[in-house]
Amino acid sequence: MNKPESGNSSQSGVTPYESFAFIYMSILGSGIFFLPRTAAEVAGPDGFWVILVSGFIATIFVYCLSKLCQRFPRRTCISFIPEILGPSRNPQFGRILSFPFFILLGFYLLFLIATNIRIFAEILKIEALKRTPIEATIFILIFSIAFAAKTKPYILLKMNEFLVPFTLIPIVILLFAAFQNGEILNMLPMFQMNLNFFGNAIFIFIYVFVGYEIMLIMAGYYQNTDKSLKSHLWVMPFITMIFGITFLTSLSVFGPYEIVKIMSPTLELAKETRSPMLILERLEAGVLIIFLINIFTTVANFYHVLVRMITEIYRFPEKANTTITWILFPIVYALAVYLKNIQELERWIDWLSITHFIVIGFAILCLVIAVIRKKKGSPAHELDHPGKKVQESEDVS
Amino acid sequence: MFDTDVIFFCCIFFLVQGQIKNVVMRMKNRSFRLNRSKKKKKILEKRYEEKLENKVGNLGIYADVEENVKYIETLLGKAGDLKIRQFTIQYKPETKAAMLYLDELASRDANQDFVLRPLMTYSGLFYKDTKKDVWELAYESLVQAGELKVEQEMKEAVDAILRGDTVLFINGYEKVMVIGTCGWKTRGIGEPRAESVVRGPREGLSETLLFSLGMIRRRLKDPDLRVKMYSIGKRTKTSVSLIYLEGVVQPDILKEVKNRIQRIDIDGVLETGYIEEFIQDQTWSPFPQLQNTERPDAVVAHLLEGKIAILVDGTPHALIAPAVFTQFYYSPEDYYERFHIATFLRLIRLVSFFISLMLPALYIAFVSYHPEMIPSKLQFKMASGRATVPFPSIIEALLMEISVEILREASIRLPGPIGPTIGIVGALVIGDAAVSAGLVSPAMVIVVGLTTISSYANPSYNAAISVRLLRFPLMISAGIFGLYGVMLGLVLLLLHLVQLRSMGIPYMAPYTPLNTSDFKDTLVRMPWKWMDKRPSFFHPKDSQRQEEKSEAQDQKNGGEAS
Repeated sequence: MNKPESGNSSQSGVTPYESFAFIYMSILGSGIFFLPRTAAEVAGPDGFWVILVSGFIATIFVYCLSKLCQRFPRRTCISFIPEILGPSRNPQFGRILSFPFFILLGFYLLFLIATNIRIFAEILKIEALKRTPIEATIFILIFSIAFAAKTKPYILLKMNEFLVPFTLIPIVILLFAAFQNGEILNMLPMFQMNLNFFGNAIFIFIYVFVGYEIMLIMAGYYQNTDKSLKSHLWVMPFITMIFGITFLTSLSVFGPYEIVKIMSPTLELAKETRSPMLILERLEAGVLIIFLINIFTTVANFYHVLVRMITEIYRFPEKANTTITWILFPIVYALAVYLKNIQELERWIDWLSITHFIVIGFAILCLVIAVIRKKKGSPAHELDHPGKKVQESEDVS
Repeated sequence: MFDTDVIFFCCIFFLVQGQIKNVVMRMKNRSFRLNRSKKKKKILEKRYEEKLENKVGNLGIYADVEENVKYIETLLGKAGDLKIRQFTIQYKPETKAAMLYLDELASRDANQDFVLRPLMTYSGLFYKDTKKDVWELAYESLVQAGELKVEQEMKEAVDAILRGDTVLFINGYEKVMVIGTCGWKTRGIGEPRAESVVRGPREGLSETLLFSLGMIRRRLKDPDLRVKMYSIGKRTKTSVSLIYLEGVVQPDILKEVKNRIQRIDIDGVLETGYIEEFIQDQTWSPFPQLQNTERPDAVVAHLLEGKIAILVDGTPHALIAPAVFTQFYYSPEDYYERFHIATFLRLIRLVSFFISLMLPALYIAFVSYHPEMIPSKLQFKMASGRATVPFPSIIEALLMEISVEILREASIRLPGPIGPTIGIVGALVIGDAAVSAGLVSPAMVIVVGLTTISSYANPSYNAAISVRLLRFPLMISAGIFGLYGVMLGLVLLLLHLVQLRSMGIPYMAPYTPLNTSDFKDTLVRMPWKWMDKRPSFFHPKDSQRQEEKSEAQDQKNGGEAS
């Protein structure tokens, strides 16, 4: 039997809530394991303010990126960045100019995928599956994620949408632990920080919010771009709040001196949660497994966007997505198992945070150029496959 | 010397010849086997066409009654149940006639009282002086049947006989009268066995399509109710009817369902299951993409939501298309009882869904990978219970689950009164003996028992089967990766569910795509007063259930809809 074409147009459309869920799930990745420690390391009890301010700055970035995507409805950055940079008479030149950026973005996504998976696998080995080899857990994780990555964009968006409420379960458990064991005294004294340090702390901490860059590609698949991009802005306060709660609960239980010595305060906190009402004892494995949802969706989103990006750059047909997903699979696996230990992983993360600034900076630069050159995309096209879009726009120009 | 040689050679010759023959035959057979499926289909088609197209094809009715009778008799292979009654119509001039029908398919009483008697007796008594044509007289006055058609072709006559109608040939006329006398014995209207309720109608749909249709019509006196009839199955010619409410159902969905039904090309349809497998969106999904129900009230409720019902003659199960995941966990009773209990029961069903899907997997994961998560007092008990068990927990769980599945299957096949007994013997005696023998741990028996009972808490059987199947892969992944494996399995399952569609409608609606206005009838069943709209994910053309917001109107509509 053929696939159904029945129903209506609203089915394939992306609702604002779906785009909210997509960005939310992309940001909420493995960062949450280390977040309280990082915040306490850079700012002590003042970490909460660092979270707030860096959340605000990230919101500005999200706003800029959304504005950029909004100028070119139903087109991905692969199609519009060359148009912004290149002269309108010679579109090929724009493509050459923007190619290094695409390569950077591709490797950036690839390494983000690998680090996220590796972090989760390491923590899984420490906390839950002590005797299972890390190669096996990584393999099965990437293997499952590849199935999600090779699907159509709207399916992935729907999966993100469905899973959003489940990410709040650990937060409830953390709050429970804080009420049980937390002390206000641990959170004091506040406002002790030097402003110079503060700036530095924000610079380090803003990496926790990484993940929203993929809207550069994904926004091309939204039907109602304006509404969807507005919902992106709602993600930031929400996620800042979640990060804030995670930090404050950890801080209230462990205090600023203890917290920096724990590898993952978030999970350690779950260990502290004990009550006969919860039926189970020692929740850390359970909480870790629920965090798997975050890792799964984050990495699936990155992976999917990476695959779409490659398909679009080389103008492969839609069918090639599956092939590219499986071609990338061994590369991602090799990267994820390549590192020897967590120390090396942290060096990677440092590099990634710098790349993150380059990517964001370049995107904002593109926005400025687009505003100056008054470049705008035509929304008339129906985007089925973004590769088609590139050709069409070039024909027009 | 010479003789023995000859005999020897002859023997060899015959042996070799026999061998060659054998080989040739085998090769022939093999080539036949290779092409068998193709050939078989072709042969079937050919034979069928020969029978009905070439033989009957465009053949008209003979003017001579004898010839007609002979023709049909030969065509049906002188069937024992074909009743032929040749008689004379007592009218001037006396005319020969013949009546043919299949025994037990056509109503014998109707034929005798309203066809034979008027033609044989009344024609002579009352119509002696009229000078009308015999055919016209028979058609207008003598044959006393509500359903009466005149056909010109032999094919129609044969079809009518096979359908259970009676045909009447009159000598000298090249046409046939088809009298609607279908009247076979049926099972009385009984209570649906799989979907019994405490409160609500007790009657279930019938094996006879028209009875079922009647039951639906009786509950839905709407002129917009449309019934489209199809005949599916080249040989069985099963009547299939498509029922929907014009103006409520989304035309695109309707078109899709019609197209898919018309595309079915099979020799026989015996149950709605055939149609379901042909028209579903994804063949490989373990989840049912169409619902089936035996309850006429449930069919009407679905029609009112803008869905389409498919009835098949010969089975009491109606198909409902499209279907979403959640509707398999709703019972018709949810809408008849008070909404508090309906909401509570839906919660219970959700819990039982997760228990039946995951409990054995969780047991394996906890026992073999995360024992620290089990409360410590219980942990000691469980460890002492498992101390004698020689197998890893995955083997233990698989053994128990499979034996329970065997028990389940066996208790269905066992004759009525023994079934429950064996169930009890199996569950109690064997379970207890297995524990005391140290084959399984007591906790495992609890897990298996809970799982089995939970899977029966599901109101629809076909959804319960899918959960029953999915339990095993989850158990295996729990055996390999513990909770991590269970969670990965669940996420992949979700990925499958999210991309699944039924007639183009997302299977996980209204949760994804999220539509909060449809939450009135999901996990929480709101009072009828407030459920003023039909579920929007079926895109009904008429979205309002209740037009005005006045109190009296609300109650009236609510009553009607349930």
